Amino acid sequence: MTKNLCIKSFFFLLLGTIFFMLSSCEDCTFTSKNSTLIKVRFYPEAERINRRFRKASFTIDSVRTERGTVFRRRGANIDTLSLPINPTDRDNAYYVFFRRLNVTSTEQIIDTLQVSYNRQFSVISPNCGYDQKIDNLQIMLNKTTLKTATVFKDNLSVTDTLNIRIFF
Amino acid sequence: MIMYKHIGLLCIFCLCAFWQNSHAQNNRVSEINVSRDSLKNIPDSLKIKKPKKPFKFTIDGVRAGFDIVYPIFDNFVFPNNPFNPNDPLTKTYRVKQRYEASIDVGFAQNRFFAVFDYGYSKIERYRLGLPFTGFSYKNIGSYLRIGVDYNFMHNNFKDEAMFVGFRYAQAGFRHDFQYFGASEAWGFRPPRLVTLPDTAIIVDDRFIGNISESGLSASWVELVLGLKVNVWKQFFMGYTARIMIRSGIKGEDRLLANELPGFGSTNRTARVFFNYYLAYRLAFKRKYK
Repeated sequence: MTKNLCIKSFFFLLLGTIFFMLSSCEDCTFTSKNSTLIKVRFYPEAERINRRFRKASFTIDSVRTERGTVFRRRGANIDTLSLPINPTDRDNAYYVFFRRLNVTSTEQIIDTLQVSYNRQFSVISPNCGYDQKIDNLQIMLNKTTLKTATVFKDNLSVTDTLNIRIFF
Repeated sequence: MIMYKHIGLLCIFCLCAFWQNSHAQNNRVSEINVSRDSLKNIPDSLKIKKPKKPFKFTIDGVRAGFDIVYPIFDNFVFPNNPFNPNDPLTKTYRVKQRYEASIDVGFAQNRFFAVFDYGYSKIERYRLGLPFTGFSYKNIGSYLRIGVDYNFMHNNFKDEAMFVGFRYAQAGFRHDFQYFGASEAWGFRPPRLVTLPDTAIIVDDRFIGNISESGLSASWVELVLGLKVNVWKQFFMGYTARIMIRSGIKGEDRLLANELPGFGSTNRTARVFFNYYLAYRLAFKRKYK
């Protein structure tokens, strides 16, 4: 009985030690493909009708959010813009575009783009931080002179070059 | 890499278990050979076939115990690192409180055990030390496992066991997530010192997001191997190595669970773990021959 007990105890200690030794600790090797930026491109309305989608310059002074400014350069000609989503836990955001018809125009036009999305958070580890996956992106044009806007890709990824097409 | 570790570990366990089993059986085989030789000269008509003795499903005893792996892991191997406001340089904090109790009911002459495990888990993870961004995650819940073990050494051990078995486990939990940071585009600015005529104050415009979800549940199945050894009087020690395979998690909406009580990290759908129990056995019946 004593011998058996010794054998059993030995196996027990051996296995216990191996399990302890092989227990993997948390290490951070995580890289996320998810993005929190909405990539927007601007097209003349004629491109939508012709279905050619050649981007064109959009004259803009600034793009503002509720409390901050995404972009500010007076009379800038841009064709692509990255809009950061609302960092709080709300699942919608709106962006106000202060723009002009062209560089020489003095009249400022104000357009509002409202977006909503589904957002799912995940905690990776204390060292890695957290990740957020955004999908089901939807748009609504409010108080705008813009012709229309369409969602090209409704989930945000770091490899995206286009999520929303805006036609002016 | 981790998979290889697990496979290697199981191989070692199986080798150990079968070595001990075969060692015990070799002795029995030699006894049987001797008795077979002596029976060769007896006419068949005189041979009496010994009927197999059916076992009865009577309860032999109840063993109640608790796990010590979780307290050792959480307090000594990977000690808790609670938030300390006087230590602003520490970036991450972790608090784990996990406890597990187990009851097994032995029946059929130490052949089978009905097993019930109940556990509680509270896990907190923080990343607060960075100047502009951080989060806290809390996961609180409990779990219940039920299953059956078969003692494949029931002929050799009276009260002890080397067993294989299976478990079905279900966990219920809630989790809370709070995150904060700065975003100039949205007007949430990092903390800064603002000097006034007679004083200076720190203005903190960082955003704070909160997500709380409750009523989440998950289930999993386990294949277990283990040992129960009588160490003193009615006190037992033993371990249960388990391979756990989980199904989906119910109730997740805006926040994916990082931990499952009783299962561990949700990074993988299959995990290997082991529990080491200290237990006390209350024997009901002792009629071994």
